[in-house]
Amino acid sequence: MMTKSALLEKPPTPQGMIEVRIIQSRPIANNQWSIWVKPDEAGAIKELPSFLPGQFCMLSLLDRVDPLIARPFAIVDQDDGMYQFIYRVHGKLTHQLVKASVGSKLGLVGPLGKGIPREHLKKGKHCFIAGGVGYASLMPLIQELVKNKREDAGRIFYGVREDLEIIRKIPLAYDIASDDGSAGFHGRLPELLKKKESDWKDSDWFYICGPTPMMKAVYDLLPPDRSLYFLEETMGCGFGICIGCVVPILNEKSEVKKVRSCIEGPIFKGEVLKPWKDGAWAL
Amino acid sequence: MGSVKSLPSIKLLESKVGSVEFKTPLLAASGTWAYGLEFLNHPLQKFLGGFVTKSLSVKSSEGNPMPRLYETESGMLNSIGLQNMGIDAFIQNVEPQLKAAKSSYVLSVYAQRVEDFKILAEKANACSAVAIEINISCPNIDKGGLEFSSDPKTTAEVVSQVKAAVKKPLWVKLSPNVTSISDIAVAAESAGADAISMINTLLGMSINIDSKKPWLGRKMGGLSGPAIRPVAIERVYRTYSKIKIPIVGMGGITSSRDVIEFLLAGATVVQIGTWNFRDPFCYEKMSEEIARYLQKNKFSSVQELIGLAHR
Repeated sequence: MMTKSALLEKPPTPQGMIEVRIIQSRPIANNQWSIWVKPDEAGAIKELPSFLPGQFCMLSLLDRVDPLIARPFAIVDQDDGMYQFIYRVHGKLTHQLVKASVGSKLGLVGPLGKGIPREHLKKGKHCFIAGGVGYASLMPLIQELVKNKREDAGRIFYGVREDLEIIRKIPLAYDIASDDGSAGFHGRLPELLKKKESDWKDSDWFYICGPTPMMKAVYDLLPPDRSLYFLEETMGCGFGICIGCVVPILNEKSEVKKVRSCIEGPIFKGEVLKPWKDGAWAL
Repeated sequence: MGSVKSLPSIKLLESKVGSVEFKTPLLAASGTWAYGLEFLNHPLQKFLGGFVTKSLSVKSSEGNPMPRLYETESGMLNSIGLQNMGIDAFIQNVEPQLKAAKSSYVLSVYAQRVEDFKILAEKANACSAVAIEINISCPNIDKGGLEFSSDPKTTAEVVSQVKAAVKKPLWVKLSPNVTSISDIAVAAESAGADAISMINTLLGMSINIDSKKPWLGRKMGGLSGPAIRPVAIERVYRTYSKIKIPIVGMGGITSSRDVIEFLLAGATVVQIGTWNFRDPFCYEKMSEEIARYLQKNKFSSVQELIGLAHR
């Protein structure tokens, strides 16, 4: 098993904002879109840097001050110096992004946050627990298993509101839980996990990404020292200077502290997230 | 990077606030540059005049409940609440790094009692900071926030006490959430302030119509961003004609045009705030564009712009 420091390493500070162009933009599931971006030809950077699964970029609409703040997007895939992002159309920026045509420019800062080294997927059994578009954040890890021909070492539990929301095609053994019963198990992820316990109990590592209530709902079922939660807090900057995205965690001395999820996360081990799970403010 | 050569000359941008010199008039504002460590050795430092630290208090603080950020039209509400490591931890862990990097920084401090401001001022004397900025205008704390900058008499009291204890230039950061900011600025000047930083955020609130509750954990917060710039410009303009000490102008700057606007209104240098969250690398482009503007309009120094809108 990996040590704590090797598992989640702090990334270097980004060197600048990269102007990128949208190369492809298409719907991938109900209300969810995939975009591929690559650096603008006029810029000094020709290829986007390599990334670790779990890392994200801050994207902004160039030359626009409304929306003012950039938004974090998990990097889903990389190919030929380009990045793929998958997002749910939800707020002010994504509503404009979905209307942006191919060739439009975006501002990109990243990769940001701590990621998971790819070697981590070379050993052991891995269980992926996704809620909605949170599945996209886990895709680079799942792809890594596929690349290593280790499909048998992975298992996916995927919660959605309805069938049309599922991002296909799912490359590992999986179970779906849907709120309306239109796909797989009719109900929520925690019930599905309880029902299928024998299918995941022997996993070495758990990766959880989805809406905060969903992540908190599965927390008590999983081993806290081998669970990695991909938090999705509102961020002001993404690189540590605004102190807006803090989460309460336990530090080495078991004190409750607020830490920046962009710098110390966005992935946290379950064992430090107890105060977050309990809704502590730590004032 | 490396475009210094293509500039008319970065020397045009050399600025001064009283006796303190900055290589450009572009400073990063308190609360938007943390403690300066994230970009300490970054190429952008060539164009950053300096930065103001996140406000430090006598004891560390965990700040306000989450959520602490909410975006509005061309603006942002925040209720961070001065989360900070405390002055002693700063002096022990951060200050040596800033000093070693020869960082040009202003130490921002806040307190809930005048005595604590004096303690902070004395500790600041041991730092390599080029000046101290007292934050008497944060809208996000229950005590010691706005009340120190809401009344000329109270402002004068805290400024004179700090002035007696501090050996560095004293900048006083004022709030726009008052009847007359220029009267407060006059009081601060008479009490010994060396510069006025203005404006802090505007107190604001936004409510989620689905949950029927305010978006921010603390309910209200400080509004920043381009939405407040015309308010800031008016306050700077109005205050410029009432005081002799320099004004450090800020409020919604996102471009070189905005910087020039503040200088014309009467600011000696500016601070860039919320925009750092979006583009912390903006300093190079802004410097180049201001230098070009100066050259095109036949100015030999950025300082010639200060207060020109008053003619």
